Amino acid sequence: MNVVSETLLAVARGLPLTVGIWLASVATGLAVGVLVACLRHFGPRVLNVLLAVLVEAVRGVPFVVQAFLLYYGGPFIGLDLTPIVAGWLALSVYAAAYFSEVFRGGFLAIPPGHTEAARLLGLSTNQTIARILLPEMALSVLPALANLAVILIKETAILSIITVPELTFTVSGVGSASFAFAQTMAALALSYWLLVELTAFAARRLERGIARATLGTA
Amino acid sequence: MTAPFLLAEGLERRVGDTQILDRIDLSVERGQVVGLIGPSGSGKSSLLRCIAGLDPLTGGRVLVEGRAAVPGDGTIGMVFQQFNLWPHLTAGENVALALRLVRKMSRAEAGERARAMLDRVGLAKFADRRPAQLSGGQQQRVAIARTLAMEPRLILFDEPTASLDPELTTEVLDVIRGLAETGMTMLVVSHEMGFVASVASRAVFLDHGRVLVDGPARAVFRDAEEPRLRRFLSTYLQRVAWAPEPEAPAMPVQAAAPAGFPLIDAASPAPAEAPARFPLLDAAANPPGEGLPVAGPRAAR
Repeated sequence: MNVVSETLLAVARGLPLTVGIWLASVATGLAVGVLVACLRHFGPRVLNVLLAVLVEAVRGVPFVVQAFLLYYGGPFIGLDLTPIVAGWLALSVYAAAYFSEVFRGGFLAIPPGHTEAARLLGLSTNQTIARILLPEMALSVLPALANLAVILIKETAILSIITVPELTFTVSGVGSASFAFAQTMAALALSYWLLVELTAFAARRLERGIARATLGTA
Repeated sequence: MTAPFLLAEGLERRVGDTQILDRIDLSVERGQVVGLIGPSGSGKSSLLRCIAGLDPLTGGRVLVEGRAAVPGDGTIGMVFQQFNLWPHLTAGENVALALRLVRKMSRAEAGERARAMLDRVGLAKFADRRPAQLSGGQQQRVAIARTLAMEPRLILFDEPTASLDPELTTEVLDVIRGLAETGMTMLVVSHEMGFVASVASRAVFLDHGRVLVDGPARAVFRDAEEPRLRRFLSTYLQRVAWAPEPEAPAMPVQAAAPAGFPLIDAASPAPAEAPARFPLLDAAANPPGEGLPVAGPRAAR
């Protein structure tokens, strides 16, 4: 089998896990990110400070170090995870920290009067968040969220060092075995680029959809 | 003796070293329309926000019908200067949302009531438009409809026309005037002196967080003896005095404005008798059926 075939096969083997782990991490990161932003915005001050420290810690440490710490350091605290679960967890925590900051910015950008009006009309905090604030900020935070999602696609490559058999792991394996580093890396670059472009396209479509739904404009 | 509808006793609000409200006492009877006037920073909006429960008090208490009102319990409604409509919802949805979530109405019921409320402010046909597709005056009327839909017993208006041009101001003031005629109890913070003079049954003048004058609106405007109030009113008169001369031949004030213009409705003297440079002054200080204003740039000094 020649290098091209082997590389294509490696891409086909690694791509599903890359996409899967990325989608799972984005979904988890979004959910936790919203929760963290809500707790920081509406919760008690002490919780805000505590979460702020955690977010800063995650943002202040390179992702590669976090992945290493979780996978290789986890067993020391009884956290013996498989590479895939460790990769998903590490990427989710990393994503949540950044997503929470985007949502926090979204909350801060909404005029306080919109929340006050809801409060005086009798809406609960949860109703205000779900029915007023999140839909209202959706359009303004989407570009930043999409940007982060794109960054996260590329961060999945780091999971190869904790032996997650994702795209970089499978394709670079072909390169190491055949010494055709340039070809395999070019294939890897093209694969990520394609994924990123597809994500950006989907984000633009989503943005237009949200604009139609929330503002009545395309 | 029955308790007043709204009783505010010794209201104090302090932020850092700044005394925003300084032992304010205010009692309002059911059906009264109280105009709150005063210079910027005098505490008018803070007073409304404290009564609504949006800002915390550092002293005193607010009772509505003898009970402490809690924000969102349906007792007090508030209309804000910046409308505060939710931009992702249509006008109808803005009005219907609280009906569905708080009053637990069905979607159909809430929609029907929302349309009825929008109809009340003359906007039934705009129910499907989003706030960005409405003028400022229309947005404020939607905000009023949204408040009315929850049937509050007291409505607070915080400078409802401050960000509107004169034409749009008229739209909104007409709605508030109509509400006053239905007997709704209202506190209105406004810089529209003519409106306050003609619609409010009482006027309260605040300065530096204190009530300096509190009395029947027309008397407050006509017989302003309190020096600070006279100085405050005179600034309005001076501002109008800088208005350009009307083009010759001088257009009768009433003919130049749409019918029902609240600032001058029935308040303007006959054109031949009108002082050429103070049409708004007369309207502001001379509500319908009243005599000549006593306040003026010189008299006020």
